[in-house]
Amino acid sequence: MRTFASLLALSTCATVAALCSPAQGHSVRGSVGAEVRIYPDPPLLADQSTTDVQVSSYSTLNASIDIGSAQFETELFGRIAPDAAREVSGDVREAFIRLQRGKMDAKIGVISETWGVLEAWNPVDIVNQRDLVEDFQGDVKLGQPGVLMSWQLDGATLSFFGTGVARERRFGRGEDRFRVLSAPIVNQTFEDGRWAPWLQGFRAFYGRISQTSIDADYVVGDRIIKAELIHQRGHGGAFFWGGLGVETNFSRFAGGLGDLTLYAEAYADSRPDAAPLTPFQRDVFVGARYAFNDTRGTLLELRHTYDLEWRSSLVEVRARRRLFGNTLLSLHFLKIINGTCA
Amino acid sequence: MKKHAWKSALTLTITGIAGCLTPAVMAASGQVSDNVRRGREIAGTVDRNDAGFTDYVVDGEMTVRRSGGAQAKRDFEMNTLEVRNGGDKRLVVFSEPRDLAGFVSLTFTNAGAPDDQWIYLPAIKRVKRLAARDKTGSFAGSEFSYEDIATWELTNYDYEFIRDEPCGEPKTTCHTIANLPKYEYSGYSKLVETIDPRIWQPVRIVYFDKSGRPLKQLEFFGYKKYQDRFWRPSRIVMTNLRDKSVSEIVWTGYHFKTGLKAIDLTANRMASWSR
Repeated sequence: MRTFASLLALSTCATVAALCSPAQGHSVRGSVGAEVRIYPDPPLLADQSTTDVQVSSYSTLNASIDIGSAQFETELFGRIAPDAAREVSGDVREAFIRLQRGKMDAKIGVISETWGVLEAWNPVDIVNQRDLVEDFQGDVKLGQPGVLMSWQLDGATLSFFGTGVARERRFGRGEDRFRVLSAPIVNQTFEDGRWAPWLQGFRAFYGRISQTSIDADYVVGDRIIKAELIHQRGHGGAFFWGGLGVETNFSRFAGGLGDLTLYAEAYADSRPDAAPLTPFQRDVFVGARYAFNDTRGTLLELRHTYDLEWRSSLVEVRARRRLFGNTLLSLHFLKIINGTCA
Repeated sequence: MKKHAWKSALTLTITGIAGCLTPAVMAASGQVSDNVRRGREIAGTVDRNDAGFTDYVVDGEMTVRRSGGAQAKRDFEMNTLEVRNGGDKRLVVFSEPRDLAGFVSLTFTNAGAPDDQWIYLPAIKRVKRLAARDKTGSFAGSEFSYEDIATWELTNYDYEFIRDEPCGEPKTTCHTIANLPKYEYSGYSKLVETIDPRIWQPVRIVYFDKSGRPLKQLEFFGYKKYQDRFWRPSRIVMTNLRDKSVSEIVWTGYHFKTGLKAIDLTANRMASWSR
């Protein structure tokens, strides 16, 4: 065991009942929350914060408004984290106009596209950059300016996405804990010359890539088989990358009220050594999620990811329960064994 | 194929159906034929009387009361699209509690095959496909399952007349039939349904588990007629017969023929319903 790190995160999220009453044609909702992160292990890097207990607050605002036959939708996020490298951070995760005409859908503005069917990681998901400070596992995305046009065909959807603005990933740096990079980024370059907002202290090379992908899920009896496959060509060469998964569900498990969901996934790629770093290169992932189906909406999830190449593991326990009314308590325990996260 | 609004779409294999028939019924083959024929006639009448609604939208306010005293509320909007020569489509959008706001479920009821079902999770902006057995899971932590919330499809059941009995207010003679699910992954062995012939709608459904024991009872109250033809309840109550937990849904604001289109009820457009 070379290094290990663990994290216990407690988050309380009190949703604002209604900033204005939901009504036909518009809705506004938001949340405010407090998060406590407990780091039982010392940081790996000298410049990281040594504070074991880090408290932060965050808020979200979602709005949807009808404008004639179009919809305007927005999602704003902000966080105040005194122990982070950037104490105040935020993002416009969505702010777009949606138009629907027959089989055509269009989204114009800052959008957040989520592609893929797998649970642990989605190789096909390429549109939005990830906010790896908010969630180093990549589930939190940064809003991406652009236009998305989709046409629904019989059994398929044809989509075109265009953008003239590039965003860079947000990495942990300086005092931040749970950094996935061991060295700071001080600059950034976009290979194809697209404009990108300048931010102090970054250095990253965003090579031009071309990617072809397919994802599919198929119900076989009481199981869902899922697969994602990409072929990506970049400055480091071309490679395939994909994942295969299966999920099954047991309702009213063991005679109780709860529903148990089990899932397993395997990922592999054919990267050459010079290819860009990708997560889930040769990994297996198993998980179990138990929904208690009580009035508090209690949920418990166990997840284990094992890296076959580096022999490292990521073990997670996630739990959530509604305390009262519109207040949620969530808990996230994370332990990386033999890994390199700082 | 026509449907009515408040029976669930369930399935069971043919082997399971045979297992549901009582020994007395099995012994008297002539009686089986009569009961089966009459059961089918009653179900067909219910089906015909509710055909042609095209689509409707209704708001539901659900109260869950557990036997231990715990209580919770859920608010949602339900959109139903009638599909001729196929299964209906139903989309449910939650607005309360606030942490569930924007959660969307979409169900395609298929004739003679397991339903197709998807959910949209607003927190991660992702549409997830569900397997057929997921239908037996709880609907938003209530006594209802997704199976109970899905639309009823005439051809997904076999039927058997059980008895005539008094029901309703004022009292009339109602028909009680068994609905025997024909496809896999249902949570039930049969649904015993009592139908008021004045409106050709159910007033009570008793759900039996796979071992044939009574599990839940759904009662319908306050039927009103819409569009001069379609009867819909203003309140339904599901009671767990084992632990006496109760889930009640109060329906308000029925709107028929709203212009709902099949293209709107697709997995690709679920995100646009999440508001």
